[in-house]
Amino acid sequence: MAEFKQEDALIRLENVFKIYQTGETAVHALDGVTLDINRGEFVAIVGASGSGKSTCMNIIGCLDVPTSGSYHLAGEDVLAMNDDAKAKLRNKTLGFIFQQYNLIPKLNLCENVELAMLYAGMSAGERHKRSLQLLEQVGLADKANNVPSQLSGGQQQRVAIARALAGEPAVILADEPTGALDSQTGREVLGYLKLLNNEGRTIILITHDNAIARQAQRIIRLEDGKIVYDGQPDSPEAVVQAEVQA
Amino acid sequence: MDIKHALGVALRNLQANKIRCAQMLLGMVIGVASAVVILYMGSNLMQGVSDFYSAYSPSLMYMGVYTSVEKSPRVTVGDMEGLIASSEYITAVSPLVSVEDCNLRYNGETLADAQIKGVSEQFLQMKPACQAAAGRFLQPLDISRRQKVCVIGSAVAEELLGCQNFEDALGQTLKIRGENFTVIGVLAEIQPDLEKGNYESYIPYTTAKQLTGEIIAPLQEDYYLDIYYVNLNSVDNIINGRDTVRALLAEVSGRPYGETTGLFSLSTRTSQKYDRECVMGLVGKLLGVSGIVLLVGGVGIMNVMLAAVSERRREIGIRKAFGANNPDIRRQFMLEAFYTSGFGALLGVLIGMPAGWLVCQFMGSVPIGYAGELMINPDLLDLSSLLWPAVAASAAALLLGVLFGYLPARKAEQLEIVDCMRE
Repeated sequence: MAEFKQEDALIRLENVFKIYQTGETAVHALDGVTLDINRGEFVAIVGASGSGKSTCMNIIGCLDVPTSGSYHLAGEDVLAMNDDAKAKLRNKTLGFIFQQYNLIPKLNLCENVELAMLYAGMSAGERHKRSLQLLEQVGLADKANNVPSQLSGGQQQRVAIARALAGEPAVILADEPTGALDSQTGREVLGYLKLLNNEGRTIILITHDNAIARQAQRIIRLEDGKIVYDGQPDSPEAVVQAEVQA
Repeated sequence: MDIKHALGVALRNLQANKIRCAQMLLGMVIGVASAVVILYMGSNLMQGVSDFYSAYSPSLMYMGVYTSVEKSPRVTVGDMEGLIASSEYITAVSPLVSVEDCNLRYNGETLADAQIKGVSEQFLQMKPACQAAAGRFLQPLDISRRQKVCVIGSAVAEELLGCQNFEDALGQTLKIRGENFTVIGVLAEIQPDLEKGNYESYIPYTTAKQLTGEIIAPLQEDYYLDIYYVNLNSVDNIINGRDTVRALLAEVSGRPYGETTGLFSLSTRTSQKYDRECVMGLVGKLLGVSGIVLLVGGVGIMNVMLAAVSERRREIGIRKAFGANNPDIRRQFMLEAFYTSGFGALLGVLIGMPAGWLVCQFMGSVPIGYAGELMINPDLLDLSSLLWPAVAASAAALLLGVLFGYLPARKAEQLEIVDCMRE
């Protein structure tokens, strides 16, 4: 594999299509998306539901494969990788935060946070120590032995942030992380993301909420699987139109 | 994939759904428990078989001549004893005359359990356990003179004569069918005594024949008898010994050699082998049944695991999103199946060990081949004889668990992350 050069974009999508064949009609969830995201950026991908932003995130996160096009992550051709190599990428390079938190209900907070470390092969003792540190960072160390259902939504999302950080990922992918939260807790979660960005991590935030998106340094707006805007968050073009939203 | 992590997840899933857990484990538990009982019983019976035969010479052949068939061979003692000289395989011959329905009486006391057998002095070679602890065994002169002498079992000496010291029994007079018999020897105690050998007493076969009141020839060589013990020079010559006897029977009965098979029955160490096979067959059939139960248990685990995989799609998706590769997921579910069947095996063993013991306490005896009613020895309860059935049955359950866990585990690893996370 090619050596990753500093001047290369961390994430490079070129002419990516994702086409779902449903009977007669072909749905273009992504319709020729090309984009570069550099190290340390805080990018919001916005769009109405069905615009393809979730598909875009799934592909960037190596959770899904495009129908055609190319995708390079840190200089490496993701589409040429086998399942095992992609699992390693998800384990070490990527960190996910989901709208529905997606904590495993039967595991306690520590065990949830430990997932990435578990699959990285870290010893149990070390995993536990580090998961406690991470929970400490999100202010939930005292609840380490609780299960997710004993926590509020905001607390669960903070656990999810701690979990996303467990593998020391370069990229944090957050899919509507504030979507299920009230605005106060939402701001709190966003605060954590900004903090992580300040530490040098690349943040990719998926949202349909303009107020949230404006917190990012750069907005990529998708409509019907195409990029219709890519630039500063203060442009009127960046926002999702109210009628489209409704 | 961490083994401890998988164990924790497996236990929590078992705990969370108790009815499903019971459904999943029932087959395994019953299968393992029954296998433990059967294997324990089987090893007990095997022990019984070897104990039964240990009293006899390993190269003993027992021959019964069928006297009720047409042109039945009339084999005399002389014919049979002649084989010792003419055959290189046969080293000793003794007739066996059982004195049926007869009590032993001493000073007005009666011993009902006594068995009285008429044999020749050569019988000692065939049943080395008949060594006299006091006095002597029968001798040729006792036979030829039809002496009213007897060699008694140790239990007879103790219970009927009340002798702690066997020497005291010598010279005492017993009554057999109203006739007085002098005790000339007491046999050493047989341990363990599964066929009541300690209650047996031996008298000369000539005397026994006289007791039964049958008219007999003046010379003992001319006695026609039905049952003979034949001792061979080696266990390996059982076939040769049998053929020698067959040739004699063909000669005596005037039938062609090939038509002698219906004239006699033979049992020997081959009968021990046969009896072992009987036990094996019995155990095998029973094990087959518990094997089927185990198999059903395995299918139960598979079904429940398959359901669990569908239910836990999201969990699988999350695990994959955080770096689990396909083998990690497969291992997790296979470990869960392994732990579950292990849990089932443990329960099965906990039920099966006491159950096996109980069964052997109350079962009494089992009819097995030539050994006849073989007593199950309830004292044969050392931990090791219960332990290996437990280990074997558990191993089978664990193996099945892993085999049947494979399909659900494959299904789990093949799930696509996006499909898992969709709903």
